[in-house]
Amino acid sequence: MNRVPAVLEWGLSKASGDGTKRVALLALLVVAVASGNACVTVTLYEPMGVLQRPTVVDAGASSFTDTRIQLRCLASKDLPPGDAEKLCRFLSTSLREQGAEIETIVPRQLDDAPASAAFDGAGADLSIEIVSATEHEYDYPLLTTLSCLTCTGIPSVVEETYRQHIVVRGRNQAVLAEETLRARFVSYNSVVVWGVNYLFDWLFRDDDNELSGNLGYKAFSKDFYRQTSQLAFNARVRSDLLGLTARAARPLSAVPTGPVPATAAPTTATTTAPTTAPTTAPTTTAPPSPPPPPPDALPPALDY
Amino acid sequence: MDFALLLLFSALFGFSDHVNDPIHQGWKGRSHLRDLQCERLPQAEAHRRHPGFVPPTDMRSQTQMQIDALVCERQVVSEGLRSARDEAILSQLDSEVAAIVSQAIALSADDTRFMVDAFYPSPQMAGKIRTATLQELAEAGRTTSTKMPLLAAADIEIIQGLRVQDALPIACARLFAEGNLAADQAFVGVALIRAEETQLHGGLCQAGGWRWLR
Repeated sequence: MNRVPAVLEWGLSKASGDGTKRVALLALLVVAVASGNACVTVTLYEPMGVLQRPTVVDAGASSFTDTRIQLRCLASKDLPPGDAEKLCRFLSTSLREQGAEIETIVPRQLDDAPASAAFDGAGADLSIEIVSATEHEYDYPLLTTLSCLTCTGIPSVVEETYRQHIVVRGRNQAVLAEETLRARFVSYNSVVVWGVNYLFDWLFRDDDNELSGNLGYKAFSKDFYRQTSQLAFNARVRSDLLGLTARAARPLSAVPTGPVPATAAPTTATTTAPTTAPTTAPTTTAPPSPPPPPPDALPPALDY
Repeated sequence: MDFALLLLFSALFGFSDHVNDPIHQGWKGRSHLRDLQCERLPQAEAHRRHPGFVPPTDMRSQTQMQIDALVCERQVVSEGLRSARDEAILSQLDSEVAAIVSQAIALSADDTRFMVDAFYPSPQMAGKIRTATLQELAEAGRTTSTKMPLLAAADIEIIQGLRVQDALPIACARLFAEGNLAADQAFVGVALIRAEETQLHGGLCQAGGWRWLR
C-alpha cells in the first residue's frame, strides 16, 4: 500500500522541480493529443457469440498432418489487400505449426484461383475462405469534440464491431463448416483513463486481466486463431467421415515412402502414391518393407 | 464557459445510452467480459424479446438511421466449470441436433418410428444428446421410441474393438438381420468421432443400410 504515495510524490517532484521539464511534459501531452495516436488509448475487447466458445484442438499438436489447406482471405472495403495478406500470413503460420501444408491467396474476385488448381493442380483438401467486414461503428461526436477541447481530459469513445465469416470447403467444394465470428472493441482515448488504467494494471490486476496496450487485440487474435483451427479440424473430420478426402491419390512427394523400383511402375508413378501391393515378391535379403501409412493420419479415435 | 458546460451536458446526454453498456464491467478485467454473452439485434427484434428494456421502433427515426440494440446476458455456467468440449457441444446442441434430425426426416417415410442413441465419452452428455434428439424428432411430429435396439452378444463382441464410425454400419446391418429393427423403424445414431472435435455427427440406419447424415 506504500507504493501509491511513493509514485505520486515521485511524479509531482519531477514535474514541479523544473520549469523546463514541465513545459516539455506539456508539449509531449499536446503532441500526443494532436496526433490522436494510440498511446493514450485503452481498448476493451468483448468476444461475441462463437468467439467465446471453448476449443479443444491442440494448437501445438499435429492436428493437420498430411492435410493441404488453401487459405483465401478476401479483401474488401473494410479489409485492404495488404491487411488481407497479413491475415492470411499469420493464419498460415498458425496452421503450419499444426502440420498443414498451406497455400495462401488474396483473390480480388471470388472465382480467382479456385481450390482445385491449388498445390500445382493437385487440389486442396480443405479450402478456408475468410471474409471480414465492419458490422458496426460508432463514435460519440460531442464526446470527441470535448475530448479535443480538454486535451483528452474527457475521453472520446469509439465503438466497433467486426465480423469474420469463415467457410471451410472440402475437396469437392462442399461446405463442411461455417461460422461467423464477431468481436466488439470499445476504445477510450484519454490521458486520464489511460493513466488510471495503467495504475490499475500495475497495482491490482493479474496478468490475465490487464487491459493496457494492445492486449485487447492480442486476445482477439488468440481467439480468432484457435476458433479457425477448431473449425478447420471439425471440417477435416467431417470430410474424412463422408469420404470426401482422397488421400490415396496424393502425389508421392508428400508421402514418406521408400524408393520406387525402376521396373515397378511407369514414370507417372513418381507423382502418385501406390495403391496396390507390388506383384513381384521381395528377395530374402531385402529388409521387410514398412507397412504403408494409413490413409487417415488423424489422432486415434475415441475409446469409449 | 457557458458554451463548454452546454457541450458537456450535451455529450453526457448523448452518452446516456452508453451507461448501461456491459462493457463498463470490462474495467474489472478481461475475464469479466468473457462471462457475458452478447449479440447485436435490430431494434424491432430486441423489442420483441425484451419489451421492458428496448422501446418499440419509431418509423421516422428508422428511416434516418438503423438503430440496433446490444443484448447481453451473463452465462449460466461459468467458464471452467464444465469441460471445454462438453461446453462447446452444449452451446450448439440445438442447431447440431436440428440439422441431423431434419436430414433424417427427409430420408425416411412419414410413418417411420425413430429410435435414437448417442455415443459420447461421458454418459451424462450422451444422455443429454439422446434426449435432445428425441425431443427434436417429437417436435417435428415424428413417432419416437425411448427403447433402443439391442444387439446379440456375439455382435457386441465383434464391434466392441472397432472405431465408432466403423462399428455403427456393422451394428446397423446386424440389427436389421436379426429382426431387432423392423422395416418401419429407423435408428438415428449421434456420435462424437474424434476427441479434438467440437461437433456431432449423425447417421441413419434404415432397412439394414447405414448412411452418414452429417
